[in-house]
Amino acid sequence: MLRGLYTATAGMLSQQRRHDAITNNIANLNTPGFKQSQAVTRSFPEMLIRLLKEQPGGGSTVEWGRLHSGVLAEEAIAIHIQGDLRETGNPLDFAIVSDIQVEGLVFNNGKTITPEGERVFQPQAFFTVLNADGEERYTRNGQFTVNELGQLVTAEGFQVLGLDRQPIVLVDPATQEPLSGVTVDKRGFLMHPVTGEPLTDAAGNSVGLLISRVENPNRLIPEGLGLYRIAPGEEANVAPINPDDQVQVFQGFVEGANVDPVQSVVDMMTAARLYEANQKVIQAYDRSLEKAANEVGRV
Amino acid sequence: MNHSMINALVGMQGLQQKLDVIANNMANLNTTGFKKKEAIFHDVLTTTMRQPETFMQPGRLTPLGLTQGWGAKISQIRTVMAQGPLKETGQPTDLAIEGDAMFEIAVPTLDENGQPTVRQAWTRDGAFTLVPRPEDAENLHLVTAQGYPVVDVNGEPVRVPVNHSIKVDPDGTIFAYDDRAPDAAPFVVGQIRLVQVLRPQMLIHMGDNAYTLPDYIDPALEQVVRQLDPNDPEVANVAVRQGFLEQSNVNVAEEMAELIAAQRAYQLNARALVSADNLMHLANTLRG
Repeated sequence: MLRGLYTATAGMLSQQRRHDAITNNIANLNTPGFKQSQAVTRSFPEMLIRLLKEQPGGGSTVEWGRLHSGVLAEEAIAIHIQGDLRETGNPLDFAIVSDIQVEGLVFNNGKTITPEGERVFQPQAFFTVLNADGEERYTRNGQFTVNELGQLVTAEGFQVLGLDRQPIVLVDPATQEPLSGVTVDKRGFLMHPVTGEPLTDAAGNSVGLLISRVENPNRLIPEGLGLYRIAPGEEANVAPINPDDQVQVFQGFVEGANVDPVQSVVDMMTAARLYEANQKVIQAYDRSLEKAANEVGRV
Repeated sequence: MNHSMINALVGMQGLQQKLDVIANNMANLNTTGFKKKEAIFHDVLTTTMRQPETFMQPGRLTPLGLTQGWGAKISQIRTVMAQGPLKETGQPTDLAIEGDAMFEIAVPTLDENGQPTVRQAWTRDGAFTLVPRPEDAENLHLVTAQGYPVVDVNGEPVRVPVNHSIKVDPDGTIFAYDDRAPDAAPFVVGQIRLVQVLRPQMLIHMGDNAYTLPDYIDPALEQVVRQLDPNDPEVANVAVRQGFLEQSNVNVAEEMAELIAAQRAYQLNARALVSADNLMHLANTLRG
């Protein structure tokens, strides 16, 4: 078979995957804390073509050139750029503004290149929640609510963890009565909504939202429902934020999706046109094969 | 092809629901005591397509596996319990609550055996009236616009003797003045029960501006609503205003802005759907 047929097919498939990722971004324009994903294509594997040559003393091969057997959608990278904040006035809405600095590096749009030529991604901050199986997950969607047990939970019901890695429960430390609201400062510490007294847990430590810092956000796997999990074996990537990290929690605000509608539509059009271009290549091969099958051998 | 169509479809369905929520808010612009709702979005569960080890090439950033999202959906439609503006009506039986509290009313219903019983419900709509009851010739009962009795701190319906006018204090205490003896001193006929709503998201809207608890939550546990404790600093500024009605807390400008944003997002998703359809067309016309 003509090798190019499979290359063109691979091209169509990879543009299809790109198109799928872009439509998902568009569908999530209104999802708070959503990070747009970009499908990255890679041209591989590369094959070396060798020419079999008759030589005295045995055959040998001569390098003829390279052929790429196609392009594939390799991965979908989540772009961790800060989304815009929108004020909702709801005291249980939280937004993280994260601009974690690393010594010696200046980040631009979430990444930078070191003087040695290494690509480094900016660490990002996330809320820490517990999923239904009791495993830690990370999210930027801070639209929380309180369930009947007084626990701070996400809209899906996952418990938000505090600094002691336990679910946060809204009770007045003085009276042990449930609180209907709470005030949260920029560092994520909880306070009584009226008196301003910091809330403390049974051990007397201040109650605060557990903000996790992920060193390389690309190692996070998106699970949906706004949650990310860290790949097994890479838990060292995640730690609570340091006190001097440039991370702030805004109460009454929501972080919008970082999807740019114009860019998304242009990318979608590009993917569709490339899909069409590959389709034309397949049609051209089809006509060649048709000629070879029907006309060349005609008697 | 199909994946893109599903993303666009799911996105449009979520936006359709958001438009419904906005339309409901707009329709209730003038409803006394109405609390607006808002839709909360989440992205749908992401699938990860497995990739063989050979995909672990130098320069790859993410762990092995191609993640695919499936659009966005509405996780929760939550009620926003923000204070609505107060409008003066001058009616002595019109009451409005300033602050985070609700009136308690008793809604007649049937229990599991079909016997008539009473269900606890709460409301911010203070458009009450005093009506006579056939079984009680001495008193008028304070009821809502639907006829549900307003409950006092002892759990009994609020009763005012006939031919008396009432004055309600900011803490809900009702004083009755005898119309026939204007110089006589007023006396207390009861105190309206006010409850603090701890977990407004757990309340179920049962229509007629009333909210109730789901069956699995026992109101006596006071996890969601609890009797107002005057010593609690969180409710120190709760007051009942006689002669006022609380208007709907829907802000027209905000709702219009949300409507426009939802419409444009819907348009964008429709554009994505058309593009996906175009891809399918290209695949179908690959050969003839």
